[in-house]
Amino acid sequence: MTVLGVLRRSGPALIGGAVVGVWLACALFAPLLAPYDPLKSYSPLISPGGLSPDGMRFWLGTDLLGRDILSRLIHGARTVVVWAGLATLSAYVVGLAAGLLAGFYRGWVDTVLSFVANTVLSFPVLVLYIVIIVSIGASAANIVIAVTFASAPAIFRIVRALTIDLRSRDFVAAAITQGESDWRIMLVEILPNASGPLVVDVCLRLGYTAITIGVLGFLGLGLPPPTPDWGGMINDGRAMAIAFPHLVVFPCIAISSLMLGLSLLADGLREIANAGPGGGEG
Amino acid sequence: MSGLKLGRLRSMLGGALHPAVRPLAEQATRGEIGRREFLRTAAFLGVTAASAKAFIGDLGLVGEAAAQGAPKQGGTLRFACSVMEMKDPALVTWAEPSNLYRNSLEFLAEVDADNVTQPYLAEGWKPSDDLKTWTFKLRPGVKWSNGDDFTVEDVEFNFKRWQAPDSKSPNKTSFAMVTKFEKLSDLEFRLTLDRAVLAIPEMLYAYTCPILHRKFDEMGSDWIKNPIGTGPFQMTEYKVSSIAKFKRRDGYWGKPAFLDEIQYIDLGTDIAAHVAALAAGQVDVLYRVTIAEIELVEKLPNVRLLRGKAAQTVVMRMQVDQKPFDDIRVRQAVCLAADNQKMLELAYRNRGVVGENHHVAPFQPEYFKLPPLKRDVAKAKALLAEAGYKDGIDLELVVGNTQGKWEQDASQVLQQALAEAGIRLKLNVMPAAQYWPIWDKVPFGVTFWAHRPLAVMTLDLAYRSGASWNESHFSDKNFDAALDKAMGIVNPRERSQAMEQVEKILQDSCVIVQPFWADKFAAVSAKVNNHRPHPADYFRMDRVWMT
Repeated sequence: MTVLGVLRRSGPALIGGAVVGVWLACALFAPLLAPYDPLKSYSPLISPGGLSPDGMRFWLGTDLLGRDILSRLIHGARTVVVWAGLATLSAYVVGLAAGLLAGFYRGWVDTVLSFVANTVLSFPVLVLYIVIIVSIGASAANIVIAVTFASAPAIFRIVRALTIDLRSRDFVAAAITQGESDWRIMLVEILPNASGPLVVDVCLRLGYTAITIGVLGFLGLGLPPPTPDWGGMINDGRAMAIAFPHLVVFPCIAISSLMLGLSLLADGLREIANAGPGGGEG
Repeated sequence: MSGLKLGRLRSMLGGALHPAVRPLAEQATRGEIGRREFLRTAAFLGVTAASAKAFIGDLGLVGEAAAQGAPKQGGTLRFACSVMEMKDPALVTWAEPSNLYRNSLEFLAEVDADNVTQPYLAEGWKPSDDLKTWTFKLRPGVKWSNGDDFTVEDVEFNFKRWQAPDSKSPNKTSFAMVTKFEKLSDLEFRLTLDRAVLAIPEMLYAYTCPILHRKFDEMGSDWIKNPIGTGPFQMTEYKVSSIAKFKRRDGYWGKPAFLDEIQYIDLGTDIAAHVAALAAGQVDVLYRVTIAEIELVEKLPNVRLLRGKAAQTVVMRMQVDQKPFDDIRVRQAVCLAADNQKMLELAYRNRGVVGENHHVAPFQPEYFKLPPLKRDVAKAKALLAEAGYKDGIDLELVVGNTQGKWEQDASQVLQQALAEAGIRLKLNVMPAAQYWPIWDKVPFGVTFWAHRPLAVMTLDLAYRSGASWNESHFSDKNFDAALDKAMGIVNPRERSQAMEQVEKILQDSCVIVQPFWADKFAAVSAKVNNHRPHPADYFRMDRVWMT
């Protein structure tokens, strides 16, 4: 079944998928879609739809430094999609590995890993991000490290709970009896059967990570300038938001729409998973 | 210059004129120096502001701006300002607390909003020809708020305190050149210095130099508990991070203040919240408005945006002993590719004066106008190739945004400009708190420099070989000698001539990219009159009134 075929089984999934798809397209084809260079200064603080002194039109206006807001949003999608994707993937690699080990072996492995995860989770997430980024510096790679550190424990807990449940199933017992290796059982028998809830979590977590990158940008701890970054764009424009609302409205819409799209997609996928093969509202 | 006018001036002063006054007055007559420079230098030389103003009135120079309406007595003014912890006013490290005690404590001299030095608790001073001896005459009839007379003993107490071996005051370093304090009478004293210093009166208006009562230490060294002062207001309440109140004091030596009371209200650090409070009528004056809020403030009804010139700037400075900046061709390429005008236009919305990479402002008295800087990207590329970077070069600029995001904005414009010459500039932006510990250690960094009345004060601190804040590690004997020469000249025109070499050496050495001199902004309710932005944020409130 195609991706579109799956999504069509749920209204929310279809809408969410469409919104996410638009931003994915922006990320993939940013250089083709963006009307101007996102880093170049043209004329500062042009209102949406306005013309620069040399007759160039800027549909969403320009920012304080005269850069085209539409082009920065389109290129910003690439920033969010690439780095939110990488950060989520990295968090999943760590969370999955630790969760599978803890849930499968239990005992001291579970005790130690759960203690570490609970310790990290006891910190407020935002404080954790700020402490990590301030300590190691703001860069794309460090944002991936921070998101991995802060998100992996939550993924660990989900995977661990699913693994403990699946570990007691007959098909796992059969695999053990057949003498399959532990890693094979974890990756081939347990993981595919846990994938339903995890796919939903991936969608939600991508949204959280996109928001995190935005929040870090807003706090001045995001990607270094001049990288187009939606949160950084809001931070740049917030002091002048009353006089020039377009500086913050469009990046806010971008972040909100991506978040909404990912949430709808997650809800829809949950519906589809709960309805089983061929079911759903759609 | 007629002998009659000089004679009149001499009679005003009641004594002999400093030898530099005559040529100075002649230059003012010919229009070679401005009114402001004449007033400033006349003040250096012991001519009171009133006498000097009367004198230049005779010269037919431009007079004072007419007062706007008759001042009104009374009212309570609410000032949005941090109320920081303070015990010893000589040890404050921010201008904000000084603006609170400034209502009660006074200084020997004042540098006013026009950057002109005026007599204050000292009614005059006179340097020796070699600028190594300064004689001060104190104002008679000044009384402390506890009824004691203000005398030389008070000043002597403060100097001894600043210079004590266990002193923690920065004044200990600032006045290290003062080798002797001599009491000549109850109202006269003399300072002997071990080197010529031009700016003693300006230095005495630093916010660590308020004159405290001679028994300050005996009374517990806590000014908040014993707020004795000579100033026009009396402190009545002081709650850290909350509010401080000052009431008008009877028996003040000068003209009584117009306001009945001033309340300083601590609104936190978010200036957007301050602007909102002003718009809502919760406060009447904002301490400071940054470039980020000015468009908003301009749109608010019943609010006035105030703007003033100040010798405050940011510099993108390169450490000349660190690679690759130890090669002057790399520094030259950076300076040639930078577009200072564009940085001013975009990062500071053209509200300032373009910088010339020598850290002397056109409105500082010793400024010498050099030929305008020309941007030359092709030459920058050629210099880089010559230095072995024909494929361009990667540089990192550390930005702390210590004064606001405009530092980062200017850096981004620099980044675009340098890219044209093949310089790939990476911006390492970090929070101010993280930046301060390394501000003078990074090879290429953005530093904010606050206003100083005289450019030589900054140059002496930042570019002289081995100077304490020499963040660029620049060291040039010719520069030091040229600066010494300029610092020993009283006459502003002659000093300005001497500054040509100082400015040229610094500019040619390409130590800094100095995008612009940033204007200062403040905002007041429309009912507040006669409050002006001060270049160093030193606000005297006794001449402010409300309608």
